[in-house]
Amino acid sequence: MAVSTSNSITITGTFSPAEATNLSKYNFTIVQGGTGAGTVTYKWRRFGESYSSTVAIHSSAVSFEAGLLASWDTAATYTSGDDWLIQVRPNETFKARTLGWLEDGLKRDLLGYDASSGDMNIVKDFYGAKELPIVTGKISSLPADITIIPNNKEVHIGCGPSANPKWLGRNQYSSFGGTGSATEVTLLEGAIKSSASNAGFITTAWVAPNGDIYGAEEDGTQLLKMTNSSGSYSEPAVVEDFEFIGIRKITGTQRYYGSAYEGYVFILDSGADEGIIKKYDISGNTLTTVTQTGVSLSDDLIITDMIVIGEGSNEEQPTSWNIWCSAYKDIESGQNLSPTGILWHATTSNIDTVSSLTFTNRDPLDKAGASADGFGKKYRQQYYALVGGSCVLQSWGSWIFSGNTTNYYTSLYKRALTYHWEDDYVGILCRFRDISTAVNSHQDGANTWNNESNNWNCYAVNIEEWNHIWIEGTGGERVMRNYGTLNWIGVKNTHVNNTPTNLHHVALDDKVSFNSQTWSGPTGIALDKVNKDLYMTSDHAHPFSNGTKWIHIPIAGGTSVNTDFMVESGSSFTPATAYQTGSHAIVCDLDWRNIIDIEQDITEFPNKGLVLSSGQNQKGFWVQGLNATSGLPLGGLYSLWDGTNITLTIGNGQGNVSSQIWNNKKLFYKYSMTYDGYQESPLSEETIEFADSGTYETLDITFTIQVTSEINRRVSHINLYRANGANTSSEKPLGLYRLIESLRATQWANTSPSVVVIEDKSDKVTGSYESRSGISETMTNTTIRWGIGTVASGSLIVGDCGTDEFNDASTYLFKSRPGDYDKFNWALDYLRLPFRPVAIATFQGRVYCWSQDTMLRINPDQFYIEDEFEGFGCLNKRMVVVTEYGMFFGDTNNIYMHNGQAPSPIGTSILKFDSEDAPSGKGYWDMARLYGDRMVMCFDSKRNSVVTFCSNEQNVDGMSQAYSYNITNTRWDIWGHTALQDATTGQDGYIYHTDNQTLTAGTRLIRYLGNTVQRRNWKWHSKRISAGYPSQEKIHKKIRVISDDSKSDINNNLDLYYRINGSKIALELDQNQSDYEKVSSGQKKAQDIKIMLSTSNNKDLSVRAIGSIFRRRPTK
Amino acid sequence: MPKESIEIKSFHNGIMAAPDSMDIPLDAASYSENLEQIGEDGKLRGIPDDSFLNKIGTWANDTTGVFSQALTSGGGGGSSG
Repeated sequence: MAVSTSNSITITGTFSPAEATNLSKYNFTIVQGGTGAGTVTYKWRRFGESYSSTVAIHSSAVSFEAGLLASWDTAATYTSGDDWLIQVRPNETFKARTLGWLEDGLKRDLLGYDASSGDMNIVKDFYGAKELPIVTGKISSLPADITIIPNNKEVHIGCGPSANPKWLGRNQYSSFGGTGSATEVTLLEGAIKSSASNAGFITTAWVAPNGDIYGAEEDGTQLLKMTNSSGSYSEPAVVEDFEFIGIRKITGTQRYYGSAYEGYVFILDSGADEGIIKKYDISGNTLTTVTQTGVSLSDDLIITDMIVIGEGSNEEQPTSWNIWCSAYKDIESGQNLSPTGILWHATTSNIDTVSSLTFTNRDPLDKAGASADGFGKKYRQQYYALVGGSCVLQSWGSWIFSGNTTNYYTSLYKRALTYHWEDDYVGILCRFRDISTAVNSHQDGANTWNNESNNWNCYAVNIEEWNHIWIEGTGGERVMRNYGTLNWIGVKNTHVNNTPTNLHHVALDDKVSFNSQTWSGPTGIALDKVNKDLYMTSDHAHPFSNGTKWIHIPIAGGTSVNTDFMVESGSSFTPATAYQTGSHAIVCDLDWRNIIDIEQDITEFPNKGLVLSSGQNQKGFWVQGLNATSGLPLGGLYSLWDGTNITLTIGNGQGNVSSQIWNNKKLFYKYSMTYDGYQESPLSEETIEFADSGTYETLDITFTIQVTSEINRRVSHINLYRANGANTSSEKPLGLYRLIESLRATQWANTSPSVVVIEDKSDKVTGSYESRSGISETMTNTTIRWGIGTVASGSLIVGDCGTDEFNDASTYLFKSRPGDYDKFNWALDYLRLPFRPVAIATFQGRVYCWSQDTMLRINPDQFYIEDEFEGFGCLNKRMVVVTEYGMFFGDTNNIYMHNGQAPSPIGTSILKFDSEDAPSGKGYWDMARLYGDRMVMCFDSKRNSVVTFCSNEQNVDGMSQAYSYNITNTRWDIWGHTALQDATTGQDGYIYHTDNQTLTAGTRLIRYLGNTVQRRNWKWHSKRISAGYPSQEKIHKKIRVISDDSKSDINNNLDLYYRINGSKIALELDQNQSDYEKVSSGQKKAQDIKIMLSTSNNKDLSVRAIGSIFRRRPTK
Repeated sequence: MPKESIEIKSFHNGIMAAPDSMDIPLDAASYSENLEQIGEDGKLRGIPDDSFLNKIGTWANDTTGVFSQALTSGGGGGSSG
């Protein structure tokens, strides 16, 4: 009987201490000695603490603490007082969905992306000091997966087609904000900003019931919050953890002012033409995507505006909510658009749980023309009739509704929706035209003798027809008159069967100069909830005469609830008034329930007002109080926050040189930012102009950065460009924007504000922006969202793309500018594919990309498809690996090796197995069919083996299956592994992989085959051995196993089976019977025999040879 | 008939599940698990187990995190019959 040893107690499980600790010790002490579970008892304690109660030893594994389990050898003899000291330390928590490497010349860091939190974890100096993992940043858009492309001392991170790419790297250049030139600072930052313009920092916003303001910049990726504290506002702060593709509109639940309820912010995000609706729960700090169906857009329209309206008798407790969206397209002059619908509506009775919305077309022109409709398409006709023996043209007939004619829009606007509370109308701003004039050519009536009727007839076959948009509002009938009329169309929010009272119309072009179709529409629009005054802002020259103003279009006819909206004509209409105070956009509706304090107002809380954002050179937020009755401004603008960060001002000219080439010309200045010392952003959208007839020798241009820390930490330079106009009244530059000066970040003092004055000395010819950056000076966006990528010919080539510039970029590849992996000249450098790519790789100077069943070979320089290989697909982006020996990839049919000339299948040996060898499903065909989306291919450079991980078993460590192809020996093996999500080859040759085992998903970093002590159990099955005579029966005598290990180890850890005549029989390799075993007498006669070996207990056993001794039976 | 012996002396071929198990080379496996591919002179030997990054930046050979286990008093400290 064995006495207790150090191994009498077995600890299993995964140590996961609740508190942060590097080390824990436990004592296990025998209380009652003896033998057997019924006799021996023990107690345990954390070292230095109190013991547990006494319990009997147990052979089964029982949990005691922190994920650990203990089991006892119940056959051993124990002595009272036996004490075991067990020291444990947790395996490091390293959550990672995706792995990558970050280089630093001498060091290499391991990156791991945690998809559950968005954290980018990093183990610095992985092969050296190996610092403990830290979080180096967060990808707040929480992409399900990312692709990491290394580039020098940085990596470029693709986050899929719906999230902007990221950049992570060492800060090699001095940057703004005081980070200096410390090269060890590793940053996670956004990709290059589409434009360096700081105008319109917040262009859409919503005031929450408690006065907090939620907003965003158009196409911005972040939701911003300004916290209201008794009327004093904080500067906008990013609502963390969420990233958007490109925000189009921020709105909220109107009529939802429950005192204790904070409500929801609704965000209309990019990513689809119909927009993606997201609901931010303020109190819960959660973001939900609300799926939408029903919106059908034609003619390249996209949804750009959205409002959410609560319904119910108690305004603080709505019982239903209406969501309205409007579509937009920049309609070219002269184009008549007849889209499927521009106004869409959905409703829900539970705003808290809504996760999907079904939209219905409420386009005011999309009416069939039912007789009861007060709005829609009508026509009337003129006939010829026989009067006094002659055909005479008759008067126009009555208007008749018709649904068979076409309506045309001539202008749609990004900001178009308003809501009128008292009358419950949703208003959409648009411009449309009358349907048509005469539709049939006609001729004067003619008399014709009709032989059948024996009479003169008037053939009135030619009818003149006149079609109109028909308006029948509470103010009486109206008909559109002129092409290009700007209209405010009110659609009843209740929209009951589109009855006449559900539509309302106001024509606006009599009052303000909206006639130019070049007007791009308001940057903001709001409607007084009671008085029906309309307010708009615009940054265009029309109709606000000089841009960047807001206008007031007041009501006509009083303030009664039932009076009409603004009338379309008549002396009672007060002309619109333009106010020139800086106001880039109205970002909120007017009603915020007296919650915004206005310092200059005598009441301090006016009933209504405008919330306005930035004018030119301003980044800020202002409120304009309005007189509750007249709608006129109360005092001036009151600043809620002014955060204008970069301003460019042109000061006085110096000197006097008559020949200076720029004299008597208008000068146009723009600037750009250089990221990481080499990637230049697009030029600023903002242009600073200077026109003077003076003969200055130099001009002083002052760059002011209000808050240096707000500048992206990747920015290393700011570059100033100038283009010259033909004369002082030029509207546009005559030539290209050329560099004036490129300023390093260190030229600004690390103070806020920080000012640098640039002296523009002459008009010498310098490099143009386009020649320096390779990007057109008119391009404002060089970012592509991407999911897969590879580097070829010095460029990053990406697939699985998304961009706001293409309706659907999923079947395109884009190529970055050479060396500038964040810059894409998407207008030129793209390649249309016949499918959506699932994987991409570069091999021997060519780019290969795959669908599930086809491979393309692409020339990366000229960027065209050289060849297509049908039948060679790839399961996913991780099922391809490039080695110095060839490129390997796998689809559902086979694993292939590409030698540079052509691919060939190499996996025939592992496609399927006989049931006598392995349970069903072990073959590659079954694995690829069931687990193809999670399979990962990686290269074990220690063995020169390509390993395909299947991750088919996620409950037990080490029990998933991998196919390993050894290139040197051209042999296949099946290996076990712990389920994973990603794997990468280290420079030490090991494969490192993540953990996807269910109980510890994502928490461990595993070095595959990296154990220095223990080896895996193994199996080996021979062929069916027939000794060359498969039809001849044999008497199988013995099976011999030759090993260098001890007979004791073989006895305890090696099992031998043979399969004969379909039966599997075990043999005891007894240490007392040498190294062979007799085949049992009852199972020895057969034509062939299969020998099967397997080890247990993770014992490192090896077998040098196997022998089979038999006697052939005489041939009959 | 005399006794005969078939010897399988090396295991270089790895798995060959196709063609039929009767038709593959003698030293090929119709099925195997966790066999080392290189450096074993044709022997059958298991591949190493995995190791795990632990809290102090080293690689632990045990998934439990236990790196030390000792019987500090009592017991026999060995085995006997």
